[in-house]
Amino acid sequence: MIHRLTKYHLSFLIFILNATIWAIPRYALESGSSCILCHVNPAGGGLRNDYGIAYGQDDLAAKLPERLSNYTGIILKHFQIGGDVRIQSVSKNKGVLPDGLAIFPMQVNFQIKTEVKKLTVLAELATLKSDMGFQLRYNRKNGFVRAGLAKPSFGLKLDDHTVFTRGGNIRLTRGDHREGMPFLPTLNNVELMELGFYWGDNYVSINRSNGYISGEGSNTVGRFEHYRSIRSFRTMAGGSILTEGDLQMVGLFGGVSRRNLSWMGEVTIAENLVSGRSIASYSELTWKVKQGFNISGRVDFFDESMKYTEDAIRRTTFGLNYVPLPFVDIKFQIRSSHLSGGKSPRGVEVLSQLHLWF
Amino acid sequence: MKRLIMIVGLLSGFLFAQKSELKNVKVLPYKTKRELVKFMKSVVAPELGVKCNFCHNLTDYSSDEKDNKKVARQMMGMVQQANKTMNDLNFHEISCWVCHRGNEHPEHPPKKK
Repeated sequence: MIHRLTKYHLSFLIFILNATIWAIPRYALESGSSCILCHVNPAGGGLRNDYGIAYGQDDLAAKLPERLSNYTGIILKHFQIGGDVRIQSVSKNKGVLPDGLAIFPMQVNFQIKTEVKKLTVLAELATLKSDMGFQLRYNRKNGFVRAGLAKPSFGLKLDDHTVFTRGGNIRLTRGDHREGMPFLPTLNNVELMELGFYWGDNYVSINRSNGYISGEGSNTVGRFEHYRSIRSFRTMAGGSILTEGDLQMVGLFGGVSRRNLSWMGEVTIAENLVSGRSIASYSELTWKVKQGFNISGRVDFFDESMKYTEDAIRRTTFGLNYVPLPFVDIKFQIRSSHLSGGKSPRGVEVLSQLHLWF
Repeated sequence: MKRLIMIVGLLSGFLFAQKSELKNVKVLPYKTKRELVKFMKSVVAPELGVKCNFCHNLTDYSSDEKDNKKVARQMMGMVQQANKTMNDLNFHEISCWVCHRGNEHPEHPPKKK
């Protein structure tokens, strides 16, 4: 049942239009390497490199039509272009009755890349948000130095910004100060400089930028990732720290993958996000039923203040992911939130998303 | 207006995006990046038990900075030479697996001269 856009939908739409780019850390886990294996941006997300395009064609999609098999994104020999378009629908239920449906574009981003010897130049335009990203990267044998307009890379950059370890609920369930960590999709790119090092299966990066969360002062983020294959298991573990003014955050993340099953998790603790100490966690199990078709279950949790137990929220999500063709990704999610202290749940939400990329 | 020009430019670029340029590929016969990546992923990496970063600089896959890549190129040349002989003898072709058996280095390498 489709209703007119209500005030809720309009405010939700305005917020969600300001979408950011997402990577899918599970692919990094299953490939046993960090985001740069598939993406031009070492922090992940956006334009894919040659490996990423081939991975999308051969490893993600259920079918590969012949006419798409030679796609490279190269134009005029020196430029590679790419883009991500996401169209989202959200339906809420009150009890068993549908309460509304909203369908809207969530992301329309374009990227262009060129290389000049050891320099990589990447520009991005987030059209819905009117935000520009730009980075100039000097590549070295075991790392890089990059500078430009970008986002600091803290924690797992999941493809769902409403996970509590990322931005959480923009429209609060019960009017608390926060329902999620501060990585809201409304945050803009900031002037940033980053050093990254690769050695073996380890990746370390340190970046400093202008204030990203509060928009004031400066932001420093350190990050470590380690990938390891043990027999048929692929594992990853890592951590990141962030400081910006009074705000301090520490996060640990990891995952295990074997054949068709993958688990990923993350715990983030923030000091002075609201007042005192807040915690968010995320845990997701994914079963690859067959190539192009995945089923996942997720539990994520947020507690605004670890001192009190009555301000916590837990969300359970069940999702399907179908990739019928390269460059096409369809997702369905059903999720429900549970509040501590016996308060009534928010109801069931049904979400679907069409993601096109090239 | 600027946004429109950019979108039209990008979309028109997309239409011409089939041109592919392989950089610094000297031994392998592949003509597209996808063929090359597929070979690396399904043959070289599993048969040597390694990941891409064993040979490649992940910030620039075409770079020859890593010594392992230079060695790998010579090894692939050796396998191609061997396969010419195998074809002449009407034998099956060989690959990295024959010696490496999933290891970075063969367990029983030939003795040095």
